[in-house]
Amino acid sequence: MIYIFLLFLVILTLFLRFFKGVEVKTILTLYLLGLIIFLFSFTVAEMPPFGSPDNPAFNEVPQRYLEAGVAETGAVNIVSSVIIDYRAFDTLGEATVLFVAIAAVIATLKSH
Amino acid sequence: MRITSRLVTPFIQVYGIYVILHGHLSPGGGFSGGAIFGASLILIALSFNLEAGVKQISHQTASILESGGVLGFLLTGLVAIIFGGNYLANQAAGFPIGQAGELFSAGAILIITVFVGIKVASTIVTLFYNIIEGEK
Amino acid sequence: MGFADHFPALIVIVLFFAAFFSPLLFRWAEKFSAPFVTAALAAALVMTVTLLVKVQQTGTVLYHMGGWPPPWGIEFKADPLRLYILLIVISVSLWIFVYAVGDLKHELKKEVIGWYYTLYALLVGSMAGMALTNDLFNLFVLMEICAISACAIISIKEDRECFEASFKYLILSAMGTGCFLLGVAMLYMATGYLNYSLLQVELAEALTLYPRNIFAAAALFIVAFGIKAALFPLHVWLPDAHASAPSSSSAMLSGLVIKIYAFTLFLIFYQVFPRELLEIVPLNEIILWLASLGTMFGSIYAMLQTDLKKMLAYSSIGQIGYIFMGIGFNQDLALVGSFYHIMVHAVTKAMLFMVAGVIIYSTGVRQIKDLAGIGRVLPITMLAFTIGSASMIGIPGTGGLISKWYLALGALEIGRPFFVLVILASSLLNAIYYMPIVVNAFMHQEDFKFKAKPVPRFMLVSLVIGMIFIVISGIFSKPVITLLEKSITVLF
Repeated sequence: MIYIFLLFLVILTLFLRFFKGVEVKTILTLYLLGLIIFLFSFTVAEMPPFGSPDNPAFNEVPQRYLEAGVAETGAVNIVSSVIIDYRAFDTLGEATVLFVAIAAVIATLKSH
Repeated sequence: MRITSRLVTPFIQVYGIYVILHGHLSPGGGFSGGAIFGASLILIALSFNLEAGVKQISHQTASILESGGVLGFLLTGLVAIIFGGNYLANQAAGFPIGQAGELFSAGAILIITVFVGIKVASTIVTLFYNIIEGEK
Repeated sequence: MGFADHFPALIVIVLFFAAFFSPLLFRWAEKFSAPFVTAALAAALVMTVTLLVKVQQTGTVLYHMGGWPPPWGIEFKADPLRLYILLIVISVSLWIFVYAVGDLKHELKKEVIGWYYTLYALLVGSMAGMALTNDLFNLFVLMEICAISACAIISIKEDRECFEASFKYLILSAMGTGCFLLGVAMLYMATGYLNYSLLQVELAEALTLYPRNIFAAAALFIVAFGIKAALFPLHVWLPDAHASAPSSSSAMLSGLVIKIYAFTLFLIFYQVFPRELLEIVPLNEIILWLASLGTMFGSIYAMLQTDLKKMLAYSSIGQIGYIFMGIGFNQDLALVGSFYHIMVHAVTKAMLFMVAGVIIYSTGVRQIKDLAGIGRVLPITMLAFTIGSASMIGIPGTGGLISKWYLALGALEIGRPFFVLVILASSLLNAIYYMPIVVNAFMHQEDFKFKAKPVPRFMLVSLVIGMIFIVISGIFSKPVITLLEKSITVLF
């Protein structure tokens, strides 16, 4: 199996290099990207199944958000209660990101 | 085009304000509501011209709202410290939670959502104006 | 709860407040703008010192944002090590700011100076937050602020080169942030937590269940922080960005911004990933080799430069290599050395960039070969350059020696004398490119060829402060070393 794969790679390289005139650098970049995709697909294969209730992410954190969220924050919308109460500092950070983006745009445009 | 946008703009703005104010009750909130409101102002500038847009909200107002929005957010957090909670605390700092599901409930969440809405709307408008003017 | 209990949050908040308020202030009352930001930085400094004293008496302080305890809310943590970094960040940035206020008048257009103050305060605030936060997602948000404001203080200069350099930096650091976010997502998926301390406990268990995900996350973190801290093969953005920026921005970026990312990588390695991970995969070996290559190649590249600021920028790549070496050795003495180097290099490199700024302001010279004979025209400036280079090389009596000494001790302790040779060789390379400038500046036969404007007093004062600090850090290193040893041995 792996020999067939290597043979395929060699043929592909020759084809791209001599029939299409692609540069060596581009081909190497393609190989590197292919390798990264290969490694990440292995990683994805190992991930816990999507949406399964046994996943590690379903621990006491979302449980408290869902069960006690309304009583503790008064917001019916759970998303709001998480972003503006439990993790409000992150939202302050996001608002600051918007502010810094504006500041950067104005500063750059005014100076040029 | 102009007639349509003039007709549609008030509805868009009211919808934007609705989305901001009901952030704690229904899907939406400061970020999406602010974007809707800001888009209505951009619509005016697009369908008429830039001057008509600037007449709606001047550069100075936009930049004051810009800083004011984040400052309001930040100071709401400081108010929580004065009332004895931690930074950005809500119920723990004695903000009135009210009856869940009503419009004026959830204490600091509502206040912060409004500030975030102001901030996002003015950000979109300022970004648009600055890039358009930078082209000239 | 008293007012003083909120200091961990207030340090960040007071800087953000200064940032949000200063555009308004610049519009209405322009002359209060700079004193206002200075006051905010000074307030943050006072709070940091108070907190450091308190933490040394009573132990680590934890602060829960909004009163929600860790798995639900965001936690700030103030332990001696983080406060040490925070103290460096805030005091060095206050020092650079005092210099910048005077220098910016010549380098920038008048209407963007107010925005420069805003971006500067946001940069310092986000770095302070990165040093304090104990939550991975919060770290991501603060990294975004830090990245954008760091790009903006480069592109603010009216110069085509700056524009290109900052665009390159923006794209690469956005890639770094993206890698980091992907890594955080993987860790959250495998454990369900974002808090450092809880992650460390939970990851030890998850390592058997999802090993590949955790390895991938570790690799992504190395890439992300490697790009941002200019670890050797990922440094391509640094020379252009640091060389073309206004001098105060260069001092800030080279002195502090790359260090804070190195420190965050250290925190993630020692306070997030469990110890078993390093035993399974030799991640620290990879960092060690890259860092050693960086120290050598950074110096070799620096030798080839003809532009003074470019040379200083390449020298930063070599020096950040020493800091990563300490993380790579995975040994307490070497870590003490690399933490000491964070402080020494922050001050030294900031001062050297200030010297470059003074030279450019006074004479307009940027090329190294034109500096011959400048020592007679600008004696104090070149004295500062001499002391700075001495510290970079590691001559006795300067702080640079102490950090290299501890790094070498650490290398010997784990039985790898090869890396002592690397440290020696790279110090020698440093000497090769710093010393000719110093010698030429003072010993050159002919007179200096260019006209020199008189240097303003505040610029000289900031240089003198830097000089005094470097000499003090070389002679009285005991208290800092004791503090570092105490807080680092806890990790092993």
